[in-house]
Amino acid sequence: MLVEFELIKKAQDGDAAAFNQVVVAYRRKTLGTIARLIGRPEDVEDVAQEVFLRLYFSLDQLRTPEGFEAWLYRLTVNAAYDHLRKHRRRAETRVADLSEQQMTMADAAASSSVDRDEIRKRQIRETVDELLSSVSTEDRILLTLKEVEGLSLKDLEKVYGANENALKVRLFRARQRVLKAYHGSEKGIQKAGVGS
Amino acid sequence: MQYEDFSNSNERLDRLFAEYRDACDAPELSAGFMPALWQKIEARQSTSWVFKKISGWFVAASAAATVVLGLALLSIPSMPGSNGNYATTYVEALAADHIAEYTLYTEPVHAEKIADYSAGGILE
Repeated sequence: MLVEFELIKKAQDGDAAAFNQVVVAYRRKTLGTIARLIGRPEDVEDVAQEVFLRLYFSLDQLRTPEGFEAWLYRLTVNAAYDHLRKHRRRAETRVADLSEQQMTMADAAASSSVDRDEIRKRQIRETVDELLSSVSTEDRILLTLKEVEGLSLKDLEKVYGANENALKVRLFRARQRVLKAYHGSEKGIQKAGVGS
Repeated sequence: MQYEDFSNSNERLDRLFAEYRDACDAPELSAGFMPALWQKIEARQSTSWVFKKISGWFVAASAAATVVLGLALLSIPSMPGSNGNYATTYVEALAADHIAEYTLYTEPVHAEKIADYSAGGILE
C-alpha cells in the first residue's frame, strides 16, 4: 500500500484533501498501468483522469480500505476497457506491412541514438498493440495484466472476482491466439528487429 | 519441428512482452492534471446535484398529488342506502337493467315460411 488505511477512510468520508493525497500517491503507478494497457501515450492522461473521477464517486462503495488497490486496479481496467472499445481500430494493415513501414521510417529518421531508442520503443508498442488486436479487448487486458504488468493469479482473482481456474483457461486461450498471430507475422517482426 | 517453432515463438513473445513493459514507461504528468481532475469532479457533482434536485421535486409533487387525490376521494358523499362502495344490490342492478331495455313501441314479428320464397321462384 502506498498510503495509510486511515487516509483512505478519510477520503471515503468525503475529505477532499485526503482524496488529493491518495491521487498524488497512486497517479504515477496508475498512469504506468494505463500506458501498458492501452499502448497509446497520448491518451494515458485522459484515461487516468477518468479512473480517478470514477474513484471519487465510487469510493463509498469500498467496504474495507484493505481492498483499495484491487479496487483501483478494477477501475483502471474498466476505464482502459472502455477506452479501447471506443478507439478500437480495424486491423487494416498486417504486422508484416507495418514493420516494413516502421523500418523505412527508422532508416530515414534515426540520426541520433536518442531518436533510435525512441523509434524502437514506438515500434515495439505498435507491434504489440497490433498483436493484441488479434484478441478481444477483455483478453487483451487480461493478458497485459498478467504478462506485462506481472500480476499474479491471486491478484487477478481479486481484480476480476473470478476463480483461478477460469482465469487460467482464459489466459491460455488468449495467449494461444496471440501466439498464432505472432507466429504468422514473425518474419515481419524479425525484419524490424523487434523481440530478438 | 513444428513444436520447436512454436516453442521459439513462445520465448520470443515473452521477450516482446518484456520489451513492451520497458517501452511503455509512464508518461510525464502535465502540470494541469490535478486541476483538470477537480474541474471534472465539480462538473459531475453539479450535474448530479441538478438531477437530484429535479428528482426531489418530482417526488414531492407526486406525494402532494397523492394526498390531494386521497382527500378528494374521501370528500365525495356516498349514495344513500349504499355501503359506500356499491350503490345497489345485484337484484336492484338487474331490475334497473330491465327498465333500461323497456321500449315504447313494439310490433309482432311476422315469420314467413321459406317455402313461400321458394314458391315465388327465389330459391329455384
